[in-house]
Amino acid sequence: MTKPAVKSLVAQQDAILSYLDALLQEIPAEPEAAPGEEIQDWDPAALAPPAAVAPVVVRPVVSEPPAAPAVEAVAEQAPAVVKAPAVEPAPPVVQAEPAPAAPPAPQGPPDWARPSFQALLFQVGALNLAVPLIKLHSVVPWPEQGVTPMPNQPHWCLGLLRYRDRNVRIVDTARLVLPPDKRREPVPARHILVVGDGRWGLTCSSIGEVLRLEPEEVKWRTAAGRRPWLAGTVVDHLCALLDTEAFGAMLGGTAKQSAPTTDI
Amino acid sequence: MAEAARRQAADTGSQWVTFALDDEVYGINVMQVQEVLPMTEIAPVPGAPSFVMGIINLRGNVVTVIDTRMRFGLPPREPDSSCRIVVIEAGDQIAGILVDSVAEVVEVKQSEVDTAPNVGNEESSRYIYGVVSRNNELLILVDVNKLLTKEEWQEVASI
Repeated sequence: MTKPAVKSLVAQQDAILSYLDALLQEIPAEPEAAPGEEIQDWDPAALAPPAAVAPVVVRPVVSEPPAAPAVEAVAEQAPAVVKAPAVEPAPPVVQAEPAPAAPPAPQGPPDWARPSFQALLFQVGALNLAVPLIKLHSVVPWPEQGVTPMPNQPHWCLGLLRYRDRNVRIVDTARLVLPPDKRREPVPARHILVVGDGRWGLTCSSIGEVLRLEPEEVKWRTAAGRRPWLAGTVVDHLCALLDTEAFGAMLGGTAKQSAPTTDI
Repeated sequence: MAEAARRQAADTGSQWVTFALDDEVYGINVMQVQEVLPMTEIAPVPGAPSFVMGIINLRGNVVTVIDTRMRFGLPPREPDSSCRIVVIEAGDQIAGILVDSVAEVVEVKQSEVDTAPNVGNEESSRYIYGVVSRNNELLILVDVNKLLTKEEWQEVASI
């Protein structure tokens, strides 16, 4: 009975590692393709979130200056321990101060990642992603009334959300990071991660735990490529780390060039 | 103080007629609204552009009615009694836009308007002037002059 389970677990991890490796492969010579179509040949079932990943308990460290505001915000919600399953349903708002712009270095970890940094795990469908807390503005539950759709916007733009006196552009993250054949079934949007300066909001299916990561734990993307949103991958936690600034820049830039109703 | 006074003076208000389309609320500048008509028979025009629903007879004048839903990328809906035709002036043109309903006239201060809400390309959503937050809802302000391109307005004029 145990053997098949172990084999299945290994297969899952292999699939995820293969997928994460694929994320980091850059093929600049290839013609441009929509980011939503770039991820190929992977098994979403194998990426079933965190069953194979032991929950990690994180004690926020308040002493680290760059991550301090984010840590305070998280600490308000869960003063001692932050555990993924306990967050469901998510707290109304987890807010952190926006960080000063720090574009990722082309080689190796960016400045904000040193000596260590915290990241919030979240899920988009079956895919595990992480966003550095220092780049996270807030986490907002999907509003009951929905967001306000704007006419003739790209499909990946779900609309606007009025949040803290700002109009946050809500992005269908699944449409951007999952290939079309992997999102035939709608990916529910239950939370919105407001990132950067609060201009963009990324939908996600669920919120996970907060991790503290050393820069060495991340396989940093080493060259600008076709997935500007990818800062790197965290193999230990089988997730992809978002570069929120590049994500925003990609959306802003692509939006100006793309056809109104097509994916980017 | 002088700067604050200047800002206050510059923050002029304008009035907008609000209308509904597909559960969202839009506004057009009241200065560009000539009148609001109840739903009436719209006569299709053979060979007219796809964004034209047809024409109506307004006190002996022919007014072209634009298919607002199509222009806004919304699914078509059979007009009912709550629909209205808003007769607008755009430049030297007069046209009608069909909307689901007309609600009210609201005062909007310039400082309330977020004028860069679009993420689409400028061509597709050029007619979105901005958005305003009202009663926990967003009011989408439409620049009717840009509802159609110059060429499209010329086509309307030639009908």
